[in-house]
Amino acid sequence: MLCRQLLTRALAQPLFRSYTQAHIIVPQPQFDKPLALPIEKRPNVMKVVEREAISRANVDGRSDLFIRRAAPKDRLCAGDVVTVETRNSMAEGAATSSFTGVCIAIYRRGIDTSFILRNLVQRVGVEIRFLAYSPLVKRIEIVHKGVGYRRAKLFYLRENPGKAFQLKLLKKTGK
Amino acid sequence: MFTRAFLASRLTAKSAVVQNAAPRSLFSTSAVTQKAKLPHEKLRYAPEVSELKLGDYTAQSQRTGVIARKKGMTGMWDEWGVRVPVTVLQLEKVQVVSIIKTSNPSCARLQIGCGVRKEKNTSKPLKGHYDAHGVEPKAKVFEFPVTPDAALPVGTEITAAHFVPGQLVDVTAPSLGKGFQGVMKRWGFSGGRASHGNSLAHRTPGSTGNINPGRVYPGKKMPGRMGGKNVTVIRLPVMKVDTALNCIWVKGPVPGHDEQFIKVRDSTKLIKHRLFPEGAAVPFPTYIPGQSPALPRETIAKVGGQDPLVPSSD
Amino acid sequence: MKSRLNVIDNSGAVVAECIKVLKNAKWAEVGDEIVVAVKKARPISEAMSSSMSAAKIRKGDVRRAVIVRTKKEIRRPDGRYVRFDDNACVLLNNQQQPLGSRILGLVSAELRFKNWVKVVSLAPRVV
Repeated sequence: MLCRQLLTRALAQPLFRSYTQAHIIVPQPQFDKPLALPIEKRPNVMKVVEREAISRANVDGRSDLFIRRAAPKDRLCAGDVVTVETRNSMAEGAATSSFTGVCIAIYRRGIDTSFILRNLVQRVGVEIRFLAYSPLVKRIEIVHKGVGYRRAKLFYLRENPGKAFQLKLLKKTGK
Repeated sequence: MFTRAFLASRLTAKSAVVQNAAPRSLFSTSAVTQKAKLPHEKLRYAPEVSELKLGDYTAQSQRTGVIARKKGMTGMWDEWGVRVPVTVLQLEKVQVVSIIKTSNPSCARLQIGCGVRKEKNTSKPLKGHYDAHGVEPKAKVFEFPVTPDAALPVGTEITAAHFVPGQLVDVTAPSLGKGFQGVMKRWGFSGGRASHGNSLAHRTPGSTGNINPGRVYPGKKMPGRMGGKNVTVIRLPVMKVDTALNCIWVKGPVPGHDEQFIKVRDSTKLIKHRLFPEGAAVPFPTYIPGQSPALPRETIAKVGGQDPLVPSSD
Repeated sequence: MKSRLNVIDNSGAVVAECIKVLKNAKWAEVGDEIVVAVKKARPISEAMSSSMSAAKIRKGDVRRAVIVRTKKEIRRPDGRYVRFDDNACVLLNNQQQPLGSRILGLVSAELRFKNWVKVVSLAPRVV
């Protein structure tokens, strides 16, 4: 009830939308009600926290790429060729750098969801594990769907790459 | 919640024995004017919850701690894009249950309760205690020392807004039980050699003492049950405060399992650090709805300093 | 200690072995300075030996080096992990400048934060 009172009061006055104090950041957007819960029912707090964090980080619909039950053509699969563009810092107008590689593993862990990209750069194998919801990750793009991969984790590509890294897309960036 | 607090306030409270402390707030003033009485005499002077007023935070003030519930761990990113592991702690119906006298006149103890205890699980003596103070039975109760100016009337509800994003807290909870462990894990002994003719003595404690006393000194570190004892983690920054979920996000891990009751209080052992971030309005003695500046639902601490993702020019 | 690293500059060395970590630690990571013994070097031709008399690297030479790539993954502040397929280093002279005039492979971006400006600027690609 107390929380409700606070909330309604906060909603009534537009002042709190632009609440500023030097040591505080107000995350945007503010969810007036915690997502998906009547608060009296004592919901699973961690689920609410996670859902809110993801919906806040999901600026470009990237969470659709990590839905486990989606059709393979809609989601990120092991074996796909992916380009990730990252900011070098959170400063305005900071330079970006991009990395392209074959996705060899996906870890679905809510807000800490991550995936590993592997490529040969200058004839040296490089693997980067990106956190999908990191604010520094600007863009995740599937450039090419993998064909013929039958495993969820493709760690064997480290030992037996075969022709996995011979795609033109990968070679172009791997120079 | 709030109505209960009002109800509680109509009933009376025991007092802190406060004799020589300088008056700082309304509450302490009233406390000083009263003389200490025997414990069985009920003192009827504590202000009602509705009369609680904001005070000035001083360097000597010590606010009350709270009992929270550990909900689990997650991650967040600060304003620089640096990932911070955090533990979510929920303040579940935290209320002042009673004020307890101490022999020290400059220190009172607030009995803080957390959670809900079912009627059928409350013993009659306990029920009597809660009834006397007009508070519903609590799942967990603990006492926190406070200075007189930070004392709170019985029934006051303490919310997550009691904490300021960026402040430092100490967290106490029983650690995870490890079972019966040897000396290497339990006390960090170095054990025996791995090779060079060692036989069956790789992880043994070795000697337990001299021949001279002919006995083992009490307190000798030996194998035994490990864990399940109170552990305090000091100086954890509060990263985020959520007033709707009544949660605080604390940086790093916290002892104990999920759903564990843990004690959170303002950090005490501050040598190099500041308790509150510079320029922060401290909710003192606690966050009082209506009087304290209203907060947005969520506030995140600003870490500040240099951008760690840009190489420094030196 | 004792690990073999690829040398990715044109100083003449090919493989080097770490014989000392120049900080109070049991291990070194990218951007740390180490002492290496050259285990394998390119043969020095007559023409080269006359022109580059200063920097002749032979097998058995002991030099300082900086680690530029590791097989062990490196954690970045935002939670990212980067790992390479080999361990590699660049030989240094006494002034902590690269011995060779060119660097032939990619290096890790951690070097920027540890003030190896020259190494980073010589490298063809930084990841």
